[in-house]
Amino acid sequence: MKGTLSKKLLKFIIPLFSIPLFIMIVFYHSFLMTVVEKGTENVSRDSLVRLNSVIEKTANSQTNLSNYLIQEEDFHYFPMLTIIDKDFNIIADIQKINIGKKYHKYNQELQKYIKEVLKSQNIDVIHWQKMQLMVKPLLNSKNEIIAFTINDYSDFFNKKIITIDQTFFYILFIVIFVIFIGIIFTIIFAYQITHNINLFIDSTKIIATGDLSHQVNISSNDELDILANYFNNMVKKLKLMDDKIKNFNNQLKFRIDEEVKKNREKDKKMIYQSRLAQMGEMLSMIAHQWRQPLNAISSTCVHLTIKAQLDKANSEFVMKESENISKFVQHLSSTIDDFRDFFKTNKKLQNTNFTELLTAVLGIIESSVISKNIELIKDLRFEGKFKTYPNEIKQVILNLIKNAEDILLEKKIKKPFIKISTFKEGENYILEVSDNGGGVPDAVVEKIFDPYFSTKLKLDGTGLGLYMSKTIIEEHCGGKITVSNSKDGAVFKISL
Amino acid sequence: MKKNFYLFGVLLLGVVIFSLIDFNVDGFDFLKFQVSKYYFQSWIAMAGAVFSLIMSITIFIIYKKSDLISLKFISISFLLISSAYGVIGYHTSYCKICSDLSLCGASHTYPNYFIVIALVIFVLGILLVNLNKNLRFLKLFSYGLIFATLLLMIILFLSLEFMETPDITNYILINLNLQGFTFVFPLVFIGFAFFYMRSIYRVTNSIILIFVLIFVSFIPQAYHIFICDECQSMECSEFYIFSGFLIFLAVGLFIYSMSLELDKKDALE
Repeated sequence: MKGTLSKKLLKFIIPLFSIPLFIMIVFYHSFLMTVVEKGTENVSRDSLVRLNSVIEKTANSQTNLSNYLIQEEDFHYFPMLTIIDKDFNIIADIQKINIGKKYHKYNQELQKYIKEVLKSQNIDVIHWQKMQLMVKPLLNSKNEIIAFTINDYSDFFNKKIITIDQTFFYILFIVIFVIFIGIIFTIIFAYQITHNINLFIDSTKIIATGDLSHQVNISSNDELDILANYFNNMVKKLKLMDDKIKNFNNQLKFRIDEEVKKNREKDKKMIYQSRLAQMGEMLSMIAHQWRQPLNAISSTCVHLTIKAQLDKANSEFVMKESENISKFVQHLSSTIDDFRDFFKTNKKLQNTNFTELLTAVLGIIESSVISKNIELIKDLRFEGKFKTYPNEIKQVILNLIKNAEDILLEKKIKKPFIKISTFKEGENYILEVSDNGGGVPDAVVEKIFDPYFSTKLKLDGTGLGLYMSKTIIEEHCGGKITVSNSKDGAVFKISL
Repeated sequence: MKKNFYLFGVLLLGVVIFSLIDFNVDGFDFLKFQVSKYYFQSWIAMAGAVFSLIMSITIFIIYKKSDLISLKFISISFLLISSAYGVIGYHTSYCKICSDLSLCGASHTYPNYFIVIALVIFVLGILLVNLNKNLRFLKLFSYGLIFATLLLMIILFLSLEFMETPDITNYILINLNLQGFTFVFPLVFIGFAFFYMRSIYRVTNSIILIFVLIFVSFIPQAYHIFICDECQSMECSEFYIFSGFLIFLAVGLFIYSMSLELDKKDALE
């Protein structure tokens, strides 16, 4: 019998009918015993009173008393009858064996008792319950006690008791059987109650798993039936709402997918724009890099032409100038290679350090920066190697230096400088790019990394440089980029 | 379970042999119908017979509707118990000695109720567990049980009014009637079946209770047949042994249906 409700019902109902039945049985038994005892005592008392007349009849022939008593119809209840005289000698004994034993066992107590009777001259029948004996003094014509009859009524009593016991046992059997059947019915009753509740629980479990089409099938025509109907209605409504939510979710999902798709396209566009902007900047840098070697080539060519017109260009001179031109061309070519490498998309992690990365970046931008009278301060304190995507980091560094250069030029700062520092902070490798451009206004610090946000409107900023830098550092390289203001200006900190 | 039923067959043969060994009927004519006086114990036997018969019919109806084979054997078991009670009831209705307020009849009528109780518990267990908790069968069972109990109660309470109570008989209890073995063999079978089942299946508390009830029911019957001189010298023990034979068959079927249920339970687990 599983389930606490069934057990509770059993624990409540079974004692409810079994305890009163058992109490009734106990009272019934004690009542029967009292009745038997009382009845036996009354019969014994009446018979012993009648004994007086018998004694009178046989006063002078006591030896025939036993025979007389056996024949006497009224005394068939008393097969155990003994008569003793005042000196405690047995003068008549119908069943010597049993009463003899009892008499001897309680002899002293009996003698003491009889002495008290003689003293008090009490002639009533005395019921000695302890031994199931009745004692009656026998009187002579002068009302003197001459002897005592002792009646052992135990045999009569026991026979009555057997009957009573068996009848009682019969009733007890009925009661026990009724209790058993009662228990069986209680189990069935408890089960009938809990069956529908269990059905309810099973259905609730199914519904809890998300099957809102499930219905509770109870047809008990009681409160549970009503509850089940309400529950089913509730589930129906829940299903309708669930369907609505599902539809709404599907629509929402579709819209989100659309938006995500749009965003991706936008991102692509932004990346493309950012790349174009960076390439534009690169082109200006290439132009700047190329200006000097092109001037040198041009002047070498002019020098060669003049020498040739003056007919002073010997082969040795021509060879020397050709070598110079060749060197300049190689320089131009290497510059192109540097730019090409810069935009190569290499998605492999490489072992590198900040110094290598900065050398590559400064190779491109340094001359451009210096040409604008901006001092470039390098404070490289960390030479340790780490694994990262070099080209992507280079683009970020280049972007930060370019931004610093733009702001310094825009604000026309006197003694402008850009400081690049590398160091280790705890477990992190740090690269800082700072300037003395006055810093980022507090109002825009929060938005500085947002896409399309730019403070360089006059310089045609796209607003994508810092957004892309943040994306590269935080999403590709697993690092962090932050901005803060020092007393001179902005400090961009890359932490890898 | 084959071992169990080989043993059952052998012990059943033993029951037949030992019932014939001390066969003594003191010139009693079995073919002559005795005049019933409806003594004390005959009422208890009569109530048992009616109760078992009603239960047999009820369970047979449930078996027909549910097709649960084990219930068929339980129905037959109840029928056999009803027959056994019929035999005891007939004998105790006329036999003054057996029907008095002491040993003979009471040693057989009351204990057999333990088997009836065990069967009712088992059927309830089947209905609660195996019939996929079908309330229809449970209701049918409870209606049958109500009807059977009502009849039993009516018979037992009527008996208080109409029964004949003979005088107390002083028994001579020094005999050793070998026919008592016919009640010892079922005890052997029950003990063996219990330990054998326990070694194969996962035996629940209710199954243990059922075995205890069946086992206990045979002990006073065996004791009475062994010691009662009156029953041996007269035809009484022959009646009791025949009822014991029927009860043994009923117990065999009961244990067989129990093994069927335990097999099914094991297969499900």
